[in-house]
Amino acid sequence: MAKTEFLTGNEAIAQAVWEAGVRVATSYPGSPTAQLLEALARQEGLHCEWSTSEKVALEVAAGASLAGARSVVVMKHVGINICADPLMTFAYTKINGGFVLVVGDDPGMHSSQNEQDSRCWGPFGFMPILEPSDAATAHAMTKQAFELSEWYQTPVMLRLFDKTAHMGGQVTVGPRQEPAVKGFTPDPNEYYMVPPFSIYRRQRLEERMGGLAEYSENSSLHEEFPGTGDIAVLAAGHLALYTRELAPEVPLFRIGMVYPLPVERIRVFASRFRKVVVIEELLPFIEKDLRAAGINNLEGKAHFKTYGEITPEIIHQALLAAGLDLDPLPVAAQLPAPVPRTPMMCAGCPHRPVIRILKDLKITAHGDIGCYLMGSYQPFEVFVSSISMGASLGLAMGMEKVQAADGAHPPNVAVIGDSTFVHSALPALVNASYNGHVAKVLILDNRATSMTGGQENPSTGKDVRGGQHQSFDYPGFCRVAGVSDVVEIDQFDYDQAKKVLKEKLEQPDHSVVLIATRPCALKYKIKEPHFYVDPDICIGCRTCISVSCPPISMQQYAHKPADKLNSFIDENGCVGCSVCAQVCPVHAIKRSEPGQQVDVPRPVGMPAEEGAGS
Amino acid sequence: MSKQKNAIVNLFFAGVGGQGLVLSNQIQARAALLAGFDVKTSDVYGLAMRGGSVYGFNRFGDQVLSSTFAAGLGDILVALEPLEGLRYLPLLRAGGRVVLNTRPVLPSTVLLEKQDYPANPEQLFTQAGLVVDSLDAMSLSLQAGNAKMTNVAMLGALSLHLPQISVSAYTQAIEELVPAKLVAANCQAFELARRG
Repeated sequence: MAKTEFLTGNEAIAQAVWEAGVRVATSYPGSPTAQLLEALARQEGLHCEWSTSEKVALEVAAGASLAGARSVVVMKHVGINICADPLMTFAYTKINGGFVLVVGDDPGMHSSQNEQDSRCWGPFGFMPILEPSDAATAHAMTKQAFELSEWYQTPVMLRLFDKTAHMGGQVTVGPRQEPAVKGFTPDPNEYYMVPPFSIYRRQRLEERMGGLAEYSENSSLHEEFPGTGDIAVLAAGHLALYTRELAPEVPLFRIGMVYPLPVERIRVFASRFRKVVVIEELLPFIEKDLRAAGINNLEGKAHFKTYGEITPEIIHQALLAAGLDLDPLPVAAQLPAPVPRTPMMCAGCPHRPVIRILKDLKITAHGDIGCYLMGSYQPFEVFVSSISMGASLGLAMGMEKVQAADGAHPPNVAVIGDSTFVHSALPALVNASYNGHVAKVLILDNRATSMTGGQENPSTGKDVRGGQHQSFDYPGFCRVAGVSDVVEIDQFDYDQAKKVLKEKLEQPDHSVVLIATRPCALKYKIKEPHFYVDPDICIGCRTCISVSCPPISMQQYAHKPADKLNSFIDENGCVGCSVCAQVCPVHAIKRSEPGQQVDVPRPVGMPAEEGAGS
Repeated sequence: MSKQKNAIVNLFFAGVGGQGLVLSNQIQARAALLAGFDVKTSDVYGLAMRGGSVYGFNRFGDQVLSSTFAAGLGDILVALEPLEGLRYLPLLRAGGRVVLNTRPVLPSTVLLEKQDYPANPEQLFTQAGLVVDSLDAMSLSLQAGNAKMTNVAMLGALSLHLPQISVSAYTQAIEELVPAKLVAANCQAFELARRG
């Protein structure tokens, strides 16, 4: 009997991947698709792994496909840049076991450094692309994607958004199929991608894409919704759902396969209307393809930006501008823009003291991809650059070469996390030694891939299901790569850590790798007695505030002068890392005794201590 | 179509990363499913985990297509934190309801004394013509055993305005989605908030 479950887009795809009999699933965690592999790893019957990078993830999944098993690789949009090299040539080969690449795009950059449009990889790499609208279509399309992959011997891309990956809905789930593993028959023409074999394969891609175009024309992945009037809408994914709700009477063509498009079917559809509004986020990918095919009664980017997320309000406004007669949306209450809220390092975050020390030392720090990038926000603002995974080392080397030629300057330091370092900084460190750069590297080894939810990585040696394997020897690697001075530091010993950083980073012409060893406060909870401020010792200097920790604020105390504020630590937020107490110049911040009520005055309006902190 | 659209209840959760907003959205969705409704939700994740602004849409009714809704169509805003509630106030319809946790979580610019936290959030909601139910969800959570159940206390307050979903549906949803050893305490936080 069919069973219904409530799943997010990520979970629905994981379920479908399992049902499709996939044997190998790989990923490098990235929002918005980080939860997909975690959901899949809760199932049995398949190998799941957090690979060390998207490139390795793609290669492992490709190898499984070569062997004739179904496989899937999952990543965020910028991950495709990392694996583009094997992807673009693997796509030339005659795909054996069904192979699906799930990618999460991020229009609006909720949690990404750019908002590149993954559809461009379709024509670039000769791959079809499917776009689900919600959890139910994500489930159905995933299963279809494996069939397509095997019918047309092609990789298939399944494109999600922040909205579709995290959209919860009801899904009819089924049992797992166990398609036979086909086995691998070596054939240079199909799998040896050097000329002349690759030339032969390039020619075969024309047949592949021709077949896929024909498939798209007849596919039930697309859906037409009849309506009234002489204006219609063309949209894919969640934007088609938004449109159906806002304008249920307007004829709609929902595109399920965004590459190759069902051009002739859309030509017939469009010919029935005075104009067709094309709704798509980011580039005018669909619009350009259709215009190139001579379908010109379209209005697309005339109404929509090529960046940012498209909301129901934006669609409503565009449809009105296009001439549709829709009920107006209610007038929303307007308020002056509220105070913004940028992410903050957690209470007890091991990055806080390091970032604070870098600020004190006035060092030119290049950031990388990880939670430590919050050091770019107030009050720290320590990073001069952040580009992409592992880029900090190269950027620091290049900048140093130019600045060193100009004489005295602050050192360039690369600041990078444990997972990012393994992901793509290993060659950069070897390059530093090989080319005689002065490498100053600060590895923040917090034993988790924290920004995406604290996934395991080589630092712990634990796999996605918790199995223990080899952990990565950071000091050992750095020495082998040619940096002999490798120093591990305990950043919760603030003064000592600062002394070491100052000495090592300011030493001219000296390569050094410093490894900060305290773990992620979110994944490995600190359970120390909370700290409190004695307002009668506090001089209101705000040094503690400058470490920017969520539970520390300046407050009014009834017995102190009305124009003076003193600091206060919310015992419900403090985890007892002690960094604020260490920077306090007058020792006004003290450790509480477990089980004992703290006997100092409370700020005005602050409820009595509720006893949860320690 | 348009009639069916009117039958959908549009909920919106606003809060700060770390408050358990995604779980409260999941429990609400599960309870509505148990009551026989179709449900769609949408959450933000990612960077938002680090004390940033987080939100979630939750819509239930006979049939729900989209997981989000346009500004001015929200029925109830569940504000786990006052400033975050104010941020998403424009999503509510005229006369809509705010279930408001009165405990602020100060953003970094306020902690650094560069900006001021709104002096009286409750009044701002009322001035916008909204109906406000205030509760100190942190205090209720602490009464129930620990500080981590403000999210479930907020659901207790929300449930008072959703009589189409039974208390037993909420209780079952909590049992299914909260770790077994924390179920009793979460049910208590839920119940304390219902008593007001």
